Amino acid sequence: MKKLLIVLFIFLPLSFSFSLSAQNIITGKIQDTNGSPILLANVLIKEGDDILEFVQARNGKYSITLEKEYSKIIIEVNSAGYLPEIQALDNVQKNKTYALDFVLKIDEIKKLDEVVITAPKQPIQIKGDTTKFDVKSFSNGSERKIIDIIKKLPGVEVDNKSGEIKFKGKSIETVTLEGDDLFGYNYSLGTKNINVDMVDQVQAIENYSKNPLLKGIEGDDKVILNLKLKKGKIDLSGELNGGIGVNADKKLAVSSNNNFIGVTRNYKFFGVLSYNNIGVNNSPFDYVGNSVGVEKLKEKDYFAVKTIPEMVLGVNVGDNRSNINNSFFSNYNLTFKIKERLKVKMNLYYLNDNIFSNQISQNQNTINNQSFLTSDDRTIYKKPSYYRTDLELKYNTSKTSLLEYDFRIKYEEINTQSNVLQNSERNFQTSLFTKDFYLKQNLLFTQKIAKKAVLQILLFHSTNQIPQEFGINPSVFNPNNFQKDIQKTNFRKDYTELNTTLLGNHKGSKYLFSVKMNIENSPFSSNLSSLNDNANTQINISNNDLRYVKKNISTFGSYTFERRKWRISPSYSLTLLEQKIEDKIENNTKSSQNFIFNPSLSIRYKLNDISAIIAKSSYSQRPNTENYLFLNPVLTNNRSIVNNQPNFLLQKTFSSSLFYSIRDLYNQFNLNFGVTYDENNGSFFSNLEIQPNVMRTNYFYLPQNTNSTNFSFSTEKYVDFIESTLKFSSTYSISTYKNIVNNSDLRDNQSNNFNSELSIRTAFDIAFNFENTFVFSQNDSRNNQSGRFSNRFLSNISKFVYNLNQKWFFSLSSEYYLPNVNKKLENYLFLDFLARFRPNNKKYEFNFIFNNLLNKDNFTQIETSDYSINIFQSRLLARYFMVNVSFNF
Amino acid sequence: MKKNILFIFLSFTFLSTYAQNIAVDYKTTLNTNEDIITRNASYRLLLKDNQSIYFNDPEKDLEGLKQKDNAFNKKIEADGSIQVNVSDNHIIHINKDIFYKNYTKDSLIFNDKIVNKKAIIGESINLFKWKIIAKSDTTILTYKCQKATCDFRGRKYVAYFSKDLYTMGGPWKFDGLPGLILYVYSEDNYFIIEPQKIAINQNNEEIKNPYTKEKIISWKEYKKLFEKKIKKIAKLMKSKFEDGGVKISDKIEDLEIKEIKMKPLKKTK
Repeated sequence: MKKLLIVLFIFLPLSFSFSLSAQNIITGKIQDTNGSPILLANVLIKEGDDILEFVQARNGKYSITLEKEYSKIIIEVNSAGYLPEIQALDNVQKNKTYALDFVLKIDEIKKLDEVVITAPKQPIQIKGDTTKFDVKSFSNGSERKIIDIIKKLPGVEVDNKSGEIKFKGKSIETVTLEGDDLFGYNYSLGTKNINVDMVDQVQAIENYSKNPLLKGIEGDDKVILNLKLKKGKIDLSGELNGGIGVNADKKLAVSSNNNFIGVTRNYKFFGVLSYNNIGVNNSPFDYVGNSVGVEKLKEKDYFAVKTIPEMVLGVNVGDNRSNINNSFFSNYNLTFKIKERLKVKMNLYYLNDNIFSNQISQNQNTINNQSFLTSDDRTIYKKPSYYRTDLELKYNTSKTSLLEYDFRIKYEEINTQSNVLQNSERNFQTSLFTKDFYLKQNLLFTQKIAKKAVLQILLFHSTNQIPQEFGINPSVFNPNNFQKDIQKTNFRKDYTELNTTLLGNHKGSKYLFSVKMNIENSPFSSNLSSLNDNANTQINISNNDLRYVKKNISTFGSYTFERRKWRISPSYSLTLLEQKIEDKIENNTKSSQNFIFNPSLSIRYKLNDISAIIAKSSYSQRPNTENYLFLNPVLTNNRSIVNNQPNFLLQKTFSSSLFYSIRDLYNQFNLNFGVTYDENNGSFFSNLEIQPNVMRTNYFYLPQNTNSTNFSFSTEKYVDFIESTLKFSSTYSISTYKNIVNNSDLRDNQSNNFNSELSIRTAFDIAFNFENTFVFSQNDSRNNQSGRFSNRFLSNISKFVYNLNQKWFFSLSSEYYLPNVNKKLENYLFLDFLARFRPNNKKYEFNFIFNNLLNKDNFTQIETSDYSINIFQSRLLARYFMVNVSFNF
Repeated sequence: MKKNILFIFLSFTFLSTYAQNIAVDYKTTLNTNEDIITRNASYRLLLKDNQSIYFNDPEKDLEGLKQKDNAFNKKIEADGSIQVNVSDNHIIHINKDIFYKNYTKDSLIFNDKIVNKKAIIGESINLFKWKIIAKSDTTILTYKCQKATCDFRGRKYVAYFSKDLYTMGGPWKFDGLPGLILYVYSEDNYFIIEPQKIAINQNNEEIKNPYTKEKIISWKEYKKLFEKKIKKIAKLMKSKFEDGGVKISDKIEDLEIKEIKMKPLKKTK
């Protein structure tokens, strides 16, 4: 063995030198026309335009040992200030040394023209976890607020209703301003109000940790957006904006939206002060539609249930067209350092609105082979007021620990007055008064216990109380003897949690283990009575008085294992659940105990840097008791009466999904498709009794199966050839559910929804650009007894923009809707026009707004259910003209 | 002999008359391990005849600093370097860098700091063993470029150069390719140099060696001095802390200085 090694050692250098000697060497002199050596030159071995090998020649001599074998060699010699000289060697023999001399002529004709070439600003830069989008590159001039740009960024999706922003399919945590989190989940405050001109870059930051101690340790990759302001937009800057005009009803149209940004070393500040009656919602709260904001979604576990819904529903048309408002909104956000280690954040909110709505809702019901029409014509005045203060303290107790304290107090009042004409014959006056008081306190301590392990202790307490009072005149129940019915409800929820979590990163695998205890205490009471005008006679119709208590002791664990192309994360939770209802009216107490095991598994396989396959699967059991608590009826509007058969049984859900995605930001190409399947066992179903004047709903539990399947496909691509971004998305969902309608047997229902959207957005280098979005959707509801209800809808929205010059900008939008494809005559067309003028100094901006030029004052949308087709018509904002002036400082 | 000198003189005058002068503005990025010192900077390369100079403007670089809004306590030093606090215990130095190259002498001279002491270092221009990729299919700022790779002091670099622009030259120390280097990055993305603007024959400034009066040390000496200084710091820290080490974690070039571990001192009872 030793011998062999020695032989090898001797042999190796030999073979090396042998291979060296197989190469050609070219040597020679390089001189100028006077015979002087050229001090510095390059000797290039070329093939066409490409350099294959080279050597630098000094003092007029060169020698190049070729690494490769050639049959023909082309040699170019160049030197600064000389014309290059080319010579060729044909029929090259192996192992031969060639001598070639070069004489270079001075490059006398070289032009001395001045040339300047500048790199264009890159629209997208990706560095590590940060993707930077250059705002200017994505603007066509029509955008006012930064959300208009964010919507256009590749890889970003914005939910128009809730304002939720997703990057690469992941919901973002917040939008920070120059790196500081001012807004929390209510980030739409920033995105809806910050002017495009202030922002230089929108940055998407992946693997973000709000708490720096958790960086690289937290398992679920969090994403945020950061707004980088333009240079010079520091200290105090902002926008003052005011507009005045007139609408088709010869009333004043007014709008003002002012905001202030302060960015210095010690503090950051953002404030909004706005008022308008042209349908613009500058706040993160929605009082017109029924959408739930991001914050409410994230914190839903802590909120009490609102029993009686307010009856204002927006329609799916344009931006805010159905918001006939009078809203004042003001918000201040401030973060500053008291000491080096102590950081404070404060948020103040105030909102006051007066919303008008006129709605006609018609239901064509077909039940048990009987058909009848019901209708409600409602005129509604809804006045919400909202007051809120948030306070957040962050104290770096040491370099390895952090103490955070959150406090929030909120009070909301909504006063809704309406007049309802029911079935074109009965007239009711209703009033609904809702108060909502919320107090939250949160203490979180984070301690780094090892280089890559962190312990967190959380103490959380919140209380939410929603008392409501609904009055209706005349009485629904005893119209002969009484003038009115009063429905009072009061739902409170106290939530207390103690949670200890251990997080860590062990050789790239992240783990999390937590132990949690929480108690929810929810008293609910309601009283429904009929009474006389002078309130001296009163009859009780229905009462509820109960207390629901839910106690949890649970442990949760997850592990994320990452090796090469795989990422596998299993997790589980183990819960001991105790539920109890004390019913003071029935005078009984029911309770139950469950031991729950919820496992889940998520697997990601990366095909390459830009594409991956993701599979998820989970099994969970959850109580759904809280939403179906009260046994005795509650009146929720002029025709609806609701009650439940409370039950502790759990809803079991098996859920799985499979997705394939390509996210290639550099080439602005995104593709995502996949399927989600959910199967539920055990749910609350509705037992409906629908009469022309009244609808009674009784929710009851059945251990039956229902399921839903959802297919989705979306792709987005910037096509260089046509200088446009094309986007196509499509979803198809099938879901099954059960109900009982007018004493029928248990019905099996299926609802199918198909929705697809195709849009194009141009990015021409000329003054003219346009965008177009075409939407088609089909709803189809059917049941096993009385047939099928379906509707097809389409819309086309176009926007043409024209940048005449630096000063003038024009845009024309057209929105076309066909609520029912079979009724082509019932269509809606909206036209809006905008002209913008910017004087040279760019500090001022004048907007001339012509909205709803054709003065369409109502809109209809059609929905289907398993027993009816609903035609819903809503009043819209009338045509208005407005002149709007902005001043940027 | 006299004849020879005259000829050389002649060829020189021709060179300076007919060669173009080129200015390239580069943006450099250092993605350091310590996030707080990660930064962008703007440099300009002036190339004329047989000399080049590559330098930055610290005032401008301060503008590009991530934490510039938090910066306070700015101090400008004699050579134009800037010192600024970004937090109470984090100071950033923005050096005034000048890389001077003389191609006829094959000499590269640049300044650096050994912790906080100025040093002028002289090296050869030909430091790199480039491997050329025989495909000129990349266009950078309208110039056709060819790719080359090399290993240099602990990092793998990819460079794009254009022979149509000039026959030599490059930003920072990078050089030795048969064309002007327009774009360089290290494969680990630590160090990136991108061109922003190319100006040909825009100004006719003469390039001068700024280090004629300075004491110039070799790379080897520089490394030695650096190591000495690090050891000194380690000693100093040892007297203050119980445990730890001194390691150079963020340097473009590997100085081959190993981490200096400090053994805990005996605890006094």
